[in-house]
Amino acid sequence: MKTVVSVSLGSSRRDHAAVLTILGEDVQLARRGMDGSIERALDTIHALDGHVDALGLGGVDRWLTVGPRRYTVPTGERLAQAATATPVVDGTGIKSVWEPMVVQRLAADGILQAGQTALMVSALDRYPMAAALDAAGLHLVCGDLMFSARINYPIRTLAELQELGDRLVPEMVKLPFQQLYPVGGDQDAVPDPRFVSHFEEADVVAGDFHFIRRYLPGRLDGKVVLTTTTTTTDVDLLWSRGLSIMATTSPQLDGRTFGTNVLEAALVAASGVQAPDPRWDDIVRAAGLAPFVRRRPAREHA
Amino acid sequence: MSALGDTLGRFAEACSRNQRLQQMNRDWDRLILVQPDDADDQHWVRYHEGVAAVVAKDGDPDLIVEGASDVLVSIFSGASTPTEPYMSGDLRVRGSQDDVMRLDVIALLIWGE
Repeated sequence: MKTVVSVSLGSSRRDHAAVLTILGEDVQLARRGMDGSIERALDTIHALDGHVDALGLGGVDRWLTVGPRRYTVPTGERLAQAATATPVVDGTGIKSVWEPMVVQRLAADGILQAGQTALMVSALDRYPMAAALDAAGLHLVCGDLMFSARINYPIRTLAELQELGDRLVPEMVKLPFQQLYPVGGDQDAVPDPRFVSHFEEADVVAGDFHFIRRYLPGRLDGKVVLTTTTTTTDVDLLWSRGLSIMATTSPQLDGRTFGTNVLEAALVAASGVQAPDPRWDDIVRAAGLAPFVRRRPAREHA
Repeated sequence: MSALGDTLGRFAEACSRNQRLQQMNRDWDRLILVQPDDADDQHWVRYHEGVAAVVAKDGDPDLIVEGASDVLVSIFSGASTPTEPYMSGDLRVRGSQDDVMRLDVIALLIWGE
């Protein structure tokens, strides 16, 4: 059996293990949360290097891709370079190929509809998903400045997102990653309601679950959440707020969905192919992935 | 007026002229003290309802920005970005993390539009 470990800067309370069968291979998946400690993450990657088939980086990106440009995130790069024998992936290969396909499928199924408003809590780390939502005719509201910098300025076009990304990302990635993204105990903090109006305006809330949870409003009635990396507790929380449809881009295993880095690491372990290898897109398409979609359970109806 | 004072005047004007920054900072009311550590000099900038202005001291600062005069002039004139001097300790900003981040964003967006 292949073995994959996701080393995450996130909370260790979200650790989990499961077996995923993909491309005909059983892959043992495990997540290890480092509670925000980069040094612990480096030590863990060193210890696992050469002993597992692929490593995932969670809670941090190695790269941010904004349109045609890709920016290296120093913290993610440092962690990735800590392994010399085992491939290290951050989910970019899934975000760039699979997540746009998920949007297209959900649109084909009528779960996402042209004319709806989609709040992408952070589009700079999921530009292909934002572009796919835009292409599907949804009105984008990108929350990067709100949720990463607490500046109440919704970005409403891909062009402005790209322009702001080109100005801000090269510098902002030099800041400690925890200033931009909830890591460690921040992932368990009480939600901050300051941007509730943007959630109310949205039909669809998409993107990183930790940002969604960090700013989760009191009610989500009638809305669709499109995300990843959820536990049963997270999903129960969303149902309790009135959510109508929950869709995740990764499959559900033992009640939870893993992050894109875990899925990418599993594919790399099973196939031996890693993005940007030209075979990567075909590997993703051949993997038989499907978004996990759940409608609001009947017992949760008021 | 000192070179830093002139620079801050132009910085405040540019912030106030910039429609996107006006919108971003419409709810940001802060008094900023800019203080070189190599000169006996203090400058105050008030951000209120999206408009920035160099002002006389009128209370306790919400944010204190400190560094060598040439570093401060370079950052507030747009000649250099604040992130690296901030990370290296050549630029010190005291205040809430959110305010520090916002000042960083303003400095990165203000020039070259």
